[in-house]
Amino acid sequence: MSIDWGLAANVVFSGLIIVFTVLLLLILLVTIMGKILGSKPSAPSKPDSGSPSTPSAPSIPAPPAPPTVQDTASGNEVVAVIAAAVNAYMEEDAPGTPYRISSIAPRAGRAKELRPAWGFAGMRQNTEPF
Amino acid sequence: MFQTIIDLFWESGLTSLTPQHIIMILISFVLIYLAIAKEFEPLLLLPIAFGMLLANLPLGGLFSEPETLYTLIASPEALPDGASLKTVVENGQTLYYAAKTQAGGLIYYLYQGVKLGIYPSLIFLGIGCMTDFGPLIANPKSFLLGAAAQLGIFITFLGAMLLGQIPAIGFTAQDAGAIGIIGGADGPTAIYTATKLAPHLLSSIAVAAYSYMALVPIIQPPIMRALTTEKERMVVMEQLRPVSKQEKIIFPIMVAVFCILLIPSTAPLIGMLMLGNLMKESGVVDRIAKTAQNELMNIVTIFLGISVGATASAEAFLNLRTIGIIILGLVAFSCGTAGGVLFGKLMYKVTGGKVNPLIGSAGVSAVPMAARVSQKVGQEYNPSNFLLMHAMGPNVAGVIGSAVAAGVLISVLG
Repeated sequence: MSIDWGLAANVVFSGLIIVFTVLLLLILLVTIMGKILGSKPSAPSKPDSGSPSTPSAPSIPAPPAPPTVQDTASGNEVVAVIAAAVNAYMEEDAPGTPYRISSIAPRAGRAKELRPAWGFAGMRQNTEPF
Repeated sequence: MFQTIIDLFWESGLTSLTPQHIIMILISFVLIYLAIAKEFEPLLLLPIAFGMLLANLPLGGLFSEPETLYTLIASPEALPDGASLKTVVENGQTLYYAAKTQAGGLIYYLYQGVKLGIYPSLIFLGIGCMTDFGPLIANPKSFLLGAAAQLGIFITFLGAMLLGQIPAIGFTAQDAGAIGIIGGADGPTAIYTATKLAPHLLSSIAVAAYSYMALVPIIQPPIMRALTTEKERMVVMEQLRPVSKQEKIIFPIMVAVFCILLIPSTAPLIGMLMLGNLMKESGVVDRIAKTAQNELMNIVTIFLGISVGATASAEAFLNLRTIGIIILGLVAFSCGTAGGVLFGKLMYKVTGGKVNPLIGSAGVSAVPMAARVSQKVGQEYNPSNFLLMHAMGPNVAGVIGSAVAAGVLISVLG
């Protein structure tokens, strides 16, 4: 039995071309749909020193490290949660003892992570089984 | 009494057992072991293996076709109960026959769902209900990786054509097309294509496809490591944009209309996949969406597995063709993985290092196993890297890509 090379070439080339063409056209359609209906990611708010609506500094001391992605919106949240955890711990172990949180800094090497700590923890929890 | 026992023994399957039957029974035991002890795609491998076992226990008649027995009767009045009358005029004389139809075996009827392409399409309905196309909509470029990973299908098609030159194997172009689709790493698509192009190879193709799908975590990582640099494997991709509900609802309608208009032979698979997805995303038919992805899919999985397994008779399975299909299946998975990863590398270069090539391997379908493999290999090199959602894009694109490739093969070769 000899190979029908014409048929083989026809199947391979037409197959690959059709698969790529169909999926390329789908990219185009989905991109257009995304432009029309897509929800855009909220742009990070730029600090504007002249604006009267600038939020006041948090009452808990801010981390001294230079701002990273983590130290934006959810950074304050993280500081608040850590402060609350420290407070709960102190209340239990040494009630009435005065204390002051002087610094909360990201662990060395973690600053380059792109996700906020809670996002990172959530992602780790969700993908751990994999 | 002793004679009765001897008669029963001679009527039992033991006397009809051939060495081929025994080999097939042993193969089914191995597959049952792999399904239970090693959890190799157990949902399908277990019923397939048991179907194989049942089909090779002689005289069970589970796969026997319905047949009509004709008995000559003296007159129409002598027609027994439950029989229909058949009249034949021969040499001027009218002969009367009592025709009695004997029902076929259980698996003969269950197999009609495979033969007519009903089960794979219903499984696609359930898969559609379980699939989130969000990552693909958020990053439509993933479609390209889903297309590149179909390379395995076409390389394997050529391989099967070449292997077919061996007289003892003798694959035709249709056989080669059905074998090539194993590279799509999509069980229902492989079964659907095999029933259309090469039904006599169905059992070997199904067993090869599901066995290799279970082996994706073993087959893919060495190929992914061999084709990428450490720097490429460590790339952290940008977070995907959120996808609106409107987009998720329009997507299945758009894909169904577009793909079926272009390649009508994809209608059963793409149509059901997108119907299932629309049921899920619309949120208005939760009850039937849940049924499609749970009860319906589970029932169909049982029927599909046992019917496909039962086609693995000794004559159909124990031959050089099966060995050829097993080898070509590995080629298909490996080439598909390589195609996806190499295209991922191309995208890495074109985007200036924004795409991690490891997500390319997920383009071979095998949802969600292939995406998990991308995630796992990525984390070996950068523990803070989460590629899972990025890999889900090419992964679900691979499902669409393999259905389109199957449609092309059926159109050209069918």
